[in-house]
Amino acid sequence: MHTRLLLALLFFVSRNASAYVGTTKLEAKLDVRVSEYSLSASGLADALTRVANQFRLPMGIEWVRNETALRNLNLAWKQDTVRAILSSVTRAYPGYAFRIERGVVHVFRRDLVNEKQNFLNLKVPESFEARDESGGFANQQLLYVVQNMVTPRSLPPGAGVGGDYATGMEEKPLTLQLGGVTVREALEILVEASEHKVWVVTFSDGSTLTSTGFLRTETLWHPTPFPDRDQPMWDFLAWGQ
Amino acid sequence: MRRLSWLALAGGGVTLFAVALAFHHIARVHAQSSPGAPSSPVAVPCCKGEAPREIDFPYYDLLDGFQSTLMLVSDSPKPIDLTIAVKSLAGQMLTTSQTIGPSQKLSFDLSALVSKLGADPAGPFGEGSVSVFFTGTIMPVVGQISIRNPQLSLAHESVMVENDPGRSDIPAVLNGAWWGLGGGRTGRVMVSNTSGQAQAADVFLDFQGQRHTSQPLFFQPYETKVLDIVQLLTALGADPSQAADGGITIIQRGPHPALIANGRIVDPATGFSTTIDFPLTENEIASSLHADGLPVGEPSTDSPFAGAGSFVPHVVVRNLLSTPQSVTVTLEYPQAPSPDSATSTPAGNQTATPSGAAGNSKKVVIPPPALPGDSAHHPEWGAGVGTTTQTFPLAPTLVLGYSTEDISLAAVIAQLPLPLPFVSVRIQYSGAAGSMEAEVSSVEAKGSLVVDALAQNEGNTWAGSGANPWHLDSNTESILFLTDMSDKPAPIGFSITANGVHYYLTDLTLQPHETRMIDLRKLRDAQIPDFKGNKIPAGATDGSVDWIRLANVAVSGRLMVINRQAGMTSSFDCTNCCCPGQLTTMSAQPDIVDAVLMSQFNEIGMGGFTDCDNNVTYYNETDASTWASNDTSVCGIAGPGTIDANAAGTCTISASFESPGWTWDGGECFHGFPIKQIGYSNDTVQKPTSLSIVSGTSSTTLESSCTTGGLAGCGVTRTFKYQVNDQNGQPIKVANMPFGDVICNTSTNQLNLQSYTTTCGGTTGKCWGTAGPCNQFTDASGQFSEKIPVCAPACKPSGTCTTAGQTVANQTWTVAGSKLGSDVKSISYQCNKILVDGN
Repeated sequence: MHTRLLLALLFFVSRNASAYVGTTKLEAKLDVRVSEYSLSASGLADALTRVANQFRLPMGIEWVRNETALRNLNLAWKQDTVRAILSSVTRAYPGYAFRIERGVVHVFRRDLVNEKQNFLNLKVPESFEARDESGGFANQQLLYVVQNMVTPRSLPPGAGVGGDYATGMEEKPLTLQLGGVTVREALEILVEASEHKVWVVTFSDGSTLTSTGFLRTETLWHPTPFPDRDQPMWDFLAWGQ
Repeated sequence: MRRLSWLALAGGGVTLFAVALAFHHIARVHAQSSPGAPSSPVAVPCCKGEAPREIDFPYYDLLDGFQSTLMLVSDSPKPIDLTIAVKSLAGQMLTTSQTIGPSQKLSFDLSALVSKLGADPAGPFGEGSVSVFFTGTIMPVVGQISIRNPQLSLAHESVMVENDPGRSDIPAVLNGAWWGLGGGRTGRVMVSNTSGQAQAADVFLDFQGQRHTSQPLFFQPYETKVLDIVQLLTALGADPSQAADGGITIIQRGPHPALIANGRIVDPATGFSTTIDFPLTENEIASSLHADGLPVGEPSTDSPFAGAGSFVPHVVVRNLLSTPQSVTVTLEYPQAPSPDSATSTPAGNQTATPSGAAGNSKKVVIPPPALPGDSAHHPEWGAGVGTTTQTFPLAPTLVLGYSTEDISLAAVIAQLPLPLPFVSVRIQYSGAAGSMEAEVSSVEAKGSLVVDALAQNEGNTWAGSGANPWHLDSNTESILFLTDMSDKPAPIGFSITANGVHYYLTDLTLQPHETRMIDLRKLRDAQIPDFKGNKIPAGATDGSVDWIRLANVAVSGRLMVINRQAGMTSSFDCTNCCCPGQLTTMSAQPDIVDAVLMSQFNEIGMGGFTDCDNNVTYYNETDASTWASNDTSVCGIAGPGTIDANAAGTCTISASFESPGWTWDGGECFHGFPIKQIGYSNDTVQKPTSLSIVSGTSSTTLESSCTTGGLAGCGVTRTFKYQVNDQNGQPIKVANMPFGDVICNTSTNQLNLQSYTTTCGGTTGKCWGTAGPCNQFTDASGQFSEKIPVCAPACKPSGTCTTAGQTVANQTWTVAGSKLGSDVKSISYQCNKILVDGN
């Protein structure tokens, strides 16, 4: 019992120490003054991923694909900090804000971030971990687990799982304990640790929820809602993708 | 006969010749020319064949701490044998032979050379002149003698004059101007007889608005005379302090001009030194002169003159006429466009209106500059790139007949938007072409550093090319200034040779009135490969740069070598061709062997331009070429150099380009018959058709416990790399091909696999996965990693991992939009292994 507590404490300390280092590095990046930068983007997510790529910012984005958030953006800055650039972008889309969490810039819509229909607030099962796995593969496994929580599969007894994960990236193996944190926190930990540096959750416009009461999602590459059995989905990108 | 004489000289090797013996019998026919009297137009090709050539340098100095370095640069694609003749003041001659390689730079320390040739550099050969003889095209070897006194920080240049048998540039009248004499500054003019015959000349000094006759000069064969301007003035009874600025004119007697001259003004106490030029009057075709790349005020941090002090440019103009004429000096300088200008100015044009421009400001319309991202934008080239050219005209100055005026720019510096990296100077005069000469120098406040810039005539077609030596070390920088003196864009062919490597810039275009500063250190250190994949060798410290205009517009350039520590600069402005480069080749490149179906690929239409010495430079003519495909069903033309890969197969793409053929009338270039060249590329469009496992990349974990859906199971994970192959089984080595896969169960499912995770996720019908794209792309080899896991309770029926048969699933890939229907992978999931197509 004591051992488990100690291990848990050590894990907590080490994870938070890592997050602290990540946050410090990120804060330094955000305070960099940029002599000149101009941005032309088709919507919030496009704008944010461009900023993340340009300034190498780890970022998590949760947004709703609606008319407002798809508005084109053309802005230019001179002698502004990266933080000011981010502020300008989020301010251009009413209802959105950003904050720094675990070394990651987290952009969200204020009215949705704490909603129970937002699957990102679900807790990842305690047993979930990535052991010597690439970040991309761990993300895929997390997706499988979360999908089973949002849309429980009625699998027959003794059902197994197969599949594949393919990537053109070189990914280093990671060992991460992701159980017990929210899905959002798990994604932030993955982004902080892996070669994938941006996660994007795209909520569908409209009020229709999944049969289990969650907001429906799309992806950047699949701009229509997925059927319930594939809910939720998200993008997990490297800088430059 | 002439050639035999040369061979005798070359064979003589280290030989001291009596003046009267050498070249005594060489017959020369010199072209006579005078200001305003160009030779009658006779259309001839600019580039003549090979013939005996001679280039002469009027002066070198090895005395009183001076060092002289002869630098020669080849513009030829083949080796050239040289005979170098070093002549004493009295006309004695030492010769040696040397071969210069293609585009090679050769440097000769003349002190060491004189010693090697058996003479004493501190003796009769302490001063003199140099000639170089060879056989070649019109000017395949050019050069200059840099004369330096490092201890006193003095430097000036001895420029070459072409003096070929039957075609000599030596003018009958030599005109030079001195300025700022007195207060410790002295002036000397060195006049050299290039011929093996005695020569005589009349000398005139212009000062205080009058022409004064000085003592005539009489030369022995190959003799060099050193004239002290103060002594000449004193001999005329003039007070040198009242003739601080003036001019010297030397008119040669006889039908065959053979005298060349060079001069210097120095102040050993301050380190002030500047060159007195004697411009070639036959090149004076327009009534305007141009000088490039001068420091002004305290130069900006991106300037090659940064930190060297505060500079005041001086424009010294000498009126060669007896009647007054007016001179208008205009400063041209680079300036970054204001943030608003790009959007507020219609049609992308910029206007410049400097405030307080001596009451005579004007607007100049200049096309938009290269912007970041443009092919012409190369930040590594240094200051001035990506900016507009602004102009600042000064109020006209009246210059009386036979007068010399030092137009100091000190009064207008405060009106310029300082700091600036450099300025260029345009001098327009009201008299006939050749009736005004100019010396342009920028002087640092302490007087220790003087930057000279040769004032080129805007009509001098020879000024549009150059072959210059460069040097880089911890104290020395080499900067090439190129100026488009015209109102039209000027494409430039450009190559650098170092350590035997040729490096080309193929997108260099000067905007009207732009001066482009090319910092050779930055260009070298950028290590950006050219279109042939070559880079300037990283450690190269010496080499040559060849450049030539590719359109018939007025261009000038000079290469400046600056040693800030020693406070010395040298400018090299050797020109070698009278006309623009001639289009001789065209290529469409590269041959594309891995165009991916339904994608677009790009080709470059590269024109090869040959100069008068058969040296080739290249220019990117992609946009100006006409593109065609022999099979549009395979390769369609989407735009200049942009090809649609429509179907798997092969095609031939052609790029044709037409350029004027240039003809020279002895004074100017004009369009001849157009020249058309066509280049071809052979391309292959590949269709992603199959995937093969890359040998040596496959591994499988040991069977171990796992969890699936909350149930304990066992399984393995197999990892390997896939290579994407085309319709012929050849690898498609292309990055960023998107891919995705769909996995479908079959009737064989002994492991009871009820769901599959896939790369793109989602579902397709009753299968798992989607074709994508989903942000997964091939690497640069056209490969990607594949990881296939399985976890099945059936493999752990009683708490331990075991085997339990197999589940077979079909996996269909989609790569770059092509569904690999003929290569559906059969995956056999087993508890302890995973097989793909039985392997």
